Amino acid sequence: MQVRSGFGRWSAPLGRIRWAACVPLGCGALWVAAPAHAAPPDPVLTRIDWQGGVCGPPQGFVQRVARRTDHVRFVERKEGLRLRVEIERHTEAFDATVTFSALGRATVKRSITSPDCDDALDALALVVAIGIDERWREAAAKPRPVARARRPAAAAVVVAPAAPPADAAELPQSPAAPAEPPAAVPPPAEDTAIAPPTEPPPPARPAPPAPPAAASAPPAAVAAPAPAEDGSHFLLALGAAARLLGGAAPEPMLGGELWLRLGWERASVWSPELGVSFSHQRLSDSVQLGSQADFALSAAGMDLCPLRLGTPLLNVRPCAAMGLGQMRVEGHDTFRAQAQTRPWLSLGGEAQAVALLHSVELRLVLGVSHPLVRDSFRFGPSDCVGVECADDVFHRVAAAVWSVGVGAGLSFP
Amino acid sequence: MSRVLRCLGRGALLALSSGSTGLALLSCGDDQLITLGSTAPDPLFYDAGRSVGVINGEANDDQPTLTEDLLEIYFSSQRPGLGGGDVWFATRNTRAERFSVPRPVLAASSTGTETSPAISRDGLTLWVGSDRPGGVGQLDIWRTTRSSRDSTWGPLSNVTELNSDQDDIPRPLAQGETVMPLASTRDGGEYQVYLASRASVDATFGAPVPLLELQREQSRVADPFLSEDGLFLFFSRQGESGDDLYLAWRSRADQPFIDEIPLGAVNTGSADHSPWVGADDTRFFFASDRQPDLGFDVFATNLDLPPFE
Repeated sequence: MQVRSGFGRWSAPLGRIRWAACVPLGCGALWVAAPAHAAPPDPVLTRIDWQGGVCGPPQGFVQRVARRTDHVRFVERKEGLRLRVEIERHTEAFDATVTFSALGRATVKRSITSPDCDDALDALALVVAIGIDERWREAAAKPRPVARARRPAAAAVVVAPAAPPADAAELPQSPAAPAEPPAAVPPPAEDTAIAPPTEPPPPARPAPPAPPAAASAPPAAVAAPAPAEDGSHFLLALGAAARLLGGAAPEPMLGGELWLRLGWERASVWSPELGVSFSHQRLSDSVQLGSQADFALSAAGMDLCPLRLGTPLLNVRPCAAMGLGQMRVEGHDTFRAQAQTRPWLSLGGEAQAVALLHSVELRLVLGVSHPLVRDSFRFGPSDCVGVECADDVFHRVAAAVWSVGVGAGLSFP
Repeated sequence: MSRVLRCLGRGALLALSSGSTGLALLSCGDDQLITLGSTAPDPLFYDAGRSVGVINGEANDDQPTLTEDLLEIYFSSQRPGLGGGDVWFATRNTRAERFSVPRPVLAASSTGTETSPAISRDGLTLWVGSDRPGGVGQLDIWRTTRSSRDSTWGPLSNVTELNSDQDDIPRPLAQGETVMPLASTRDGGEYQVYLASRASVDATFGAPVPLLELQREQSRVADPFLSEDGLFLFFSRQGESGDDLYLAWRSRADQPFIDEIPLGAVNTGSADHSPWVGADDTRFFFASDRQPDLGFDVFATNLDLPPFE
């Protein structure tokens, strides 16, 4: 992991277990020793501007911060502190930046470079926890009405929009508070390295255990699905596609498809996704032997894609797929026209290329499957016998049926 | 659905038994050969034809034509009459009855040759080929009408626009009586088939157009009978053993005929010709000399003619 400031770059190799080093170095720049105080102040009302979708939703990050400090309460508005978290994926690393903004105070930016999302989120959470502790201590050092009740549940994780706290305006970070320069924020012009702490930093303390969610979070937070520790989460997507199918009929069949997908997004190649779909393809007025035939394939499909090759935003998934439905074939412009409906069952594989633009998902599917029922179709006398019937066959369902699909959908969350 | 499930189960068993390498050969074993239709009409006949006993006599009885209700039949016969072949007719009260004893149509007969009568579906117009004096030349197409089925026929008039200086003989009209198929030797040699059209029943016919797609070198093509929709043409073609019955078809009435097939179910080693088909395409009349020593007689059978759909 590399740590760099907002105005320059400072780096040092850090592992997950060596985070303690972050405290006296870069992270400790935010540290201000809090004087002893009789009445502890309220938690710092903090709002997160989350731009780290590449590492999943913000809930995972919020939990990591809450695990490391009791002095934060995340809110949707009337915040005293705003945190803008940005995470970008590069070829071999994730660049993560957190920007501390509060009215009357200089903006502080801290950046880290990590090999994966997990490491990036942990590092940022530690930086944020230390910064929030520092602000809380600043508030604790100021005079405070004794009669004010203490805020409960310091580490409450607010996922749903929260009601504005009554005392938000009285926080030290409020506009009414006198602007005082952050003790540990280096001057912008010379911030090529994280400034040393103005006071000897306290020893790095181990992260406190995560408070029980049921005890500290409001009901909305309890009901919200908690992301996994490693940033994995579920994605639900639905959409539609145009689909071209070749080999089932004498000429390619064109149609549409509706699909629904459930994915388990993990910071790993093993990010399985399950899809179900319903498709309908047609080929009309195919001229054969002077007559014409219509083909219509209606099928439900299911595919399982265990791997995700690439990033969550742009990836390719190899999938196993099956289709189950019916093929209706009808002759016309002929004598004694007949129609038949036949079962359709296919097994095969697909490659699905996915591009995610915010919540819009673009999907390209290339597939090959083997139909388990391979009928032959003919126009000819009905009284033929044996091989003479085969002389009039104009098509047999191919052993390998190919398909191409292009579509778009919406991804949730 | 049960079939699909059976297929799925069988496929799974096959896959398990044959291993992964056998997957490419996996099949339900339920593959079928599905016939979506026939490129040829393949008409079905109930039998090879039965003699319409009452109207057949010892002389040649030929070229049957009926009203739409099948209650009046007109035909040419060489039985004793005015001479040279005359037009005869018989009637019945219901389709379940036999025809009455034939009588000559005096208005359409003469001492000359009358042949190939064609009665309109309503029974009020009779077309006939005749070489009587006053025509354009040789056999001409003539027409007579009557005001009702009980009335007598009026005098014959020559349909000059359909005639040439060679033989021209009429056949029943089709497509709302706006198209007449006819046979003619106007282009020299054997009879060939033509279609003449008119804009309406009261209009005059345009020039007959030869059906070149049916012509064969040194082969007589005659007795055309066009189905009401104009898509099927029954006719006779001269073969080695005499005339045989054929059927040609097309997908649109303004297009050439696509192909033709012999009607093997009703053709014999003798001459079979002069087809006539009821308006509902289920009753088929024709003439044949298949009965030794009886000359040509009128035969009938039931027909199942598939629509082009």
